[in-house]
Amino acid sequence: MFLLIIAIYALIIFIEVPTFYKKNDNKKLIIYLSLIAIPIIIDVLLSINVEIPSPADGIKKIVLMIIGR
Amino acid sequence: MVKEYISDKQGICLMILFIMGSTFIVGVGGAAKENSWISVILGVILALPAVIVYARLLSLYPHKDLFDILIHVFGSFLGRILCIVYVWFAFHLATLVLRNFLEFASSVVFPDTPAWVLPLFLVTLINWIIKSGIEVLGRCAEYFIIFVMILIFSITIGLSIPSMDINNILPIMYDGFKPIFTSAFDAFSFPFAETIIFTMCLSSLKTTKSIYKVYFLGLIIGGFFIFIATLRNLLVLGADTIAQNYFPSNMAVSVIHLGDLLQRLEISVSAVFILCVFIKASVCLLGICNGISKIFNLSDHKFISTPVCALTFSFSLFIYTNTMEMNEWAFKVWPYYAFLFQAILPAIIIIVAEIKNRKGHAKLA
Repeated sequence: MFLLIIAIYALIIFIEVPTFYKKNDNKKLIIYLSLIAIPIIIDVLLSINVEIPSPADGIKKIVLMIIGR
Repeated sequence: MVKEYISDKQGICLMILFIMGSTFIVGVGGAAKENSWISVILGVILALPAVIVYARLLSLYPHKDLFDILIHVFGSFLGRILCIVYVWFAFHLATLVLRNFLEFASSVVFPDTPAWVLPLFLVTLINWIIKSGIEVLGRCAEYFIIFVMILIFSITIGLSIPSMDINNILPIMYDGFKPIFTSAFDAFSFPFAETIIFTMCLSSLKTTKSIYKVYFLGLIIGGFFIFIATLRNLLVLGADTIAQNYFPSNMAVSVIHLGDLLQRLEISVSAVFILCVFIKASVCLLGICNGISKIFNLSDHKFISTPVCALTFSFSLFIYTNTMEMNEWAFKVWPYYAFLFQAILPAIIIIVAEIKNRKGHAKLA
């Protein structure tokens, strides 16, 4: 399963990156690659059944602490 | 890059579908029980001042969106931090909307399909529409609204009149004002004041005056639809059944049985829901892409859409573990959490922007 995910992301990068890589736009390239690295890691971790801590729990604790319930 | 424009009508359609978004299916005002229809009206009234602030903010700086205004008003550093805060808010909202759709699809529509399949297709379509631009989104909204109106009025409202019971709403304000105000606050923050997202992409309107028109008409018509849906759910199901259901609209329409021919009409609710969620998530993701490109000072926001869509999709898979947690979050934590982004920060921004505008620094490059 995680091989499939990596293959799909590789395909996406292979299709999309050349459109701005040819213009020597390094800033765009860095932003694009660093943004797409996060979902790749998350999806691979999810596919091998790793439990990722959700940000919703932390926000919930902070909000409940502030409003005092 | 060529600047894209949408007409007033398209803006209003976008706003209506955005407001209906996930609220149409999750329902609103659970705390007020029989009186949730009153709290929807109160929610619209509470949202009016907030909407005036958003519209004023956009009309102060014509053809600039929220991120341009933040960077201009608060300077390069603090402005960018506020931009990141708002990008996070839009991102969280998009995740919540996608998660709503995921829960609905996996628990009601296609229980045996893996939960991530339907949102994956939705996200792929959203990616396509962001790459096509806001003009295409506006035209989509113009066509969707006809479909949505026909489905809501003819099928869901018209056909459920026989199963309505006026006694379901009857002890009006039995518990006093407090629960009504609590759920009016929920209604304020869940669908109505979320229109702050529109300040991130409504810079594409042609004139500055039309921003007020779009915001007011969109809020009032969208609020009217929510009001009608809430009232229908109440009249058909009653407050107790709604409290037991996570998706009351679906339940209310599934009650319809007219002979052997007209049954199982809840698919019409699913169709409306998918269209609305599509528009809502697209607007949110458009805002995120716009914000990220403004933070890094780029001219183009379309190239970033695939990573952002993938990121939102991945987050929506693990942000909540089940429907109960999602519902609890949406009604207990979200109103207070979102109040910061919907009321407190806009108030600060509008005060600083007005002061800066009066001093004559209004000229943007």
